[in-house]
Amino acid sequence: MSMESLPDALLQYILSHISNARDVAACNCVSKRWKDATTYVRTLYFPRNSFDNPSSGEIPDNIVQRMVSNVVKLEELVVYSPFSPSGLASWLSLVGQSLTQLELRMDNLADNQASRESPSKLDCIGAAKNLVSLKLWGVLMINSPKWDVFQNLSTLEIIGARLEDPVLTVVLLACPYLKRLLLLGCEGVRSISIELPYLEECKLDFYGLGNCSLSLISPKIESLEVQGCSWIRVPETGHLKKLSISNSSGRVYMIDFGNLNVLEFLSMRGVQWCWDAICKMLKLASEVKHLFMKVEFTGDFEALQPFPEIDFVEFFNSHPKLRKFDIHGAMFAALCQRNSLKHVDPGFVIPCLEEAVITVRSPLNAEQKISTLESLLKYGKNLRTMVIKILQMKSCHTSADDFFDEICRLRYMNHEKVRIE
Amino acid sequence: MELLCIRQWISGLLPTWLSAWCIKPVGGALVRQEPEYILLALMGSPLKKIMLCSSEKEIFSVEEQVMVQHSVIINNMIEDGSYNHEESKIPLDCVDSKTLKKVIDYCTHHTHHHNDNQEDLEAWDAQFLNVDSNGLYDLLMAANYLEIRNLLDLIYGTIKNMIKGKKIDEIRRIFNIKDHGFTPEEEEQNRKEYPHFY
Repeated sequence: MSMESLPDALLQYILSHISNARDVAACNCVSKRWKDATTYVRTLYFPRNSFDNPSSGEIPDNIVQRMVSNVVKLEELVVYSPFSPSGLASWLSLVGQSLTQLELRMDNLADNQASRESPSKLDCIGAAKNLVSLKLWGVLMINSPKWDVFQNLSTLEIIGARLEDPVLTVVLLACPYLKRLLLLGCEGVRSISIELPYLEECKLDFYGLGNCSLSLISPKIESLEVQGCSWIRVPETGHLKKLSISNSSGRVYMIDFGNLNVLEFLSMRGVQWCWDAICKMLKLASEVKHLFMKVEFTGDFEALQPFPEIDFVEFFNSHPKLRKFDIHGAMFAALCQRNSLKHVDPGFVIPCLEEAVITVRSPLNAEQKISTLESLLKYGKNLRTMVIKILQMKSCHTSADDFFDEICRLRYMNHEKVRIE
Repeated sequence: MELLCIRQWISGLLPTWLSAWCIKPVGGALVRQEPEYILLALMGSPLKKIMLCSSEKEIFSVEEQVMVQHSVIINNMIEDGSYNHEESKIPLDCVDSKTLKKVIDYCTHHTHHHNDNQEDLEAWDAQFLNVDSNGLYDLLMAANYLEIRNLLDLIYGTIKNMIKGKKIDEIRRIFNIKDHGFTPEEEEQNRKEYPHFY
């Protein structure tokens, strides 16, 4: 008995899991029996180079259409190779009903103005009415697509897009049941208001001047990541567990959140945050277990200011559940203040801290910094690892060498816990 | 069984090398480690064995726990009580001895090594499936019959890899497809549409 006597059911099961279009096409030609079995394929994936060497004179759109038509109930279609709106329309007229996942490389970012072609590729997508997940790469979204509401769409991912605010609004109105929204590498957004009642995960990455405004009203939100906004308002945060705010080009000046009682992870990153915003964020995140702080400067206006001092004892007392602490450069320097460590209450303890990662950039204020590191070790009863990262220290000053020596001494005295990178 | 009886029985089963191994240094003195506990630890608590009978009427004895963990069919038989330990053997008329031995090998290894790291397990699996396509076919049919999910998935994955990226003539050779079933016109049409694939 050999492979050719494999029962139909098993053959169908095996072949239905082959998704690369080239392999499916090959299986279609292996034998009649195999061609019948490939009608049960569930996913068709056309890589970027699928039609780089066209053999017959057939145009790629038609080849895709032929393969799509050979499948009984296609669930997922992924096309990275180039295609036209009419091609897309013809495929979706065949499988629009059964398709639950669609991923397309739209490739029209380079167009300077929207093509007058009607319907556009974006419009055509509306034919896949039962989509559960839609992922688009490189889209030009300056004309609102003519979509009805996607009743089943729970995931929308747009990666690399040029958007205009009203168009984004129209798009989101067509997806009221979204649970996951990812807008990555998107340019052109100025101000966006998102009201999605079922949204649980949201990741926004806006290119540009870093001065976008975001208003998000999604009471079920559990994970939020925002890059490139300066004004952020998220009033309903009862379920928010993971929050990451970063701005590498602009200034974060206003954050307005509801209470963050269940927040476990907070990451604050950026070139400049207003001091008010930092304090507010740290105050709200009192239950946080993992805190990542990497903000270079503060200051309410254009001028970049160094940080005022943060009281060490008060900081750790207001974040009692902190287990993992990542702190960089300027913010660490702010924590190293003379006065807070002078009269420490004997009962003071940092109860839950297990892991600390500290990045040190300059040897200024070396004594305070060492003293803070020592305090972390002394009061952190459960501290298991401390990693000290030393970056680009300007070693033209002898103090840099002294500082480095001190750190090495600290490491030597606590060698099971401290590590230098 | 009373603990003392179990101990005596197990001690009787132990080969001398294992008994010798049960002596270990503790605090400078040599202390005898209770061998029966080591044996129990080695084999997992129930030492119950079951008998599987191949299509060639050869009997294989294997730990019940091992087969029950992997084969839905055998698990169901044991659970609904249709298997009597004293007398029965489970007849597997569609599995020959060579394949049955391999299946038992697979299940035993995965039960005893389930804590190994992923890489080691994958390497062992790859070695295990290094068989010709007829052997693979036999394993697939046996795993399907016995409903051993992880072995089935492993074999499906291997078969898919045997197809991916291959030319059509190659696939036909690997899967021993002598008659493709297309009419001459259909075959010609296919070759015209996808000349690269042949």
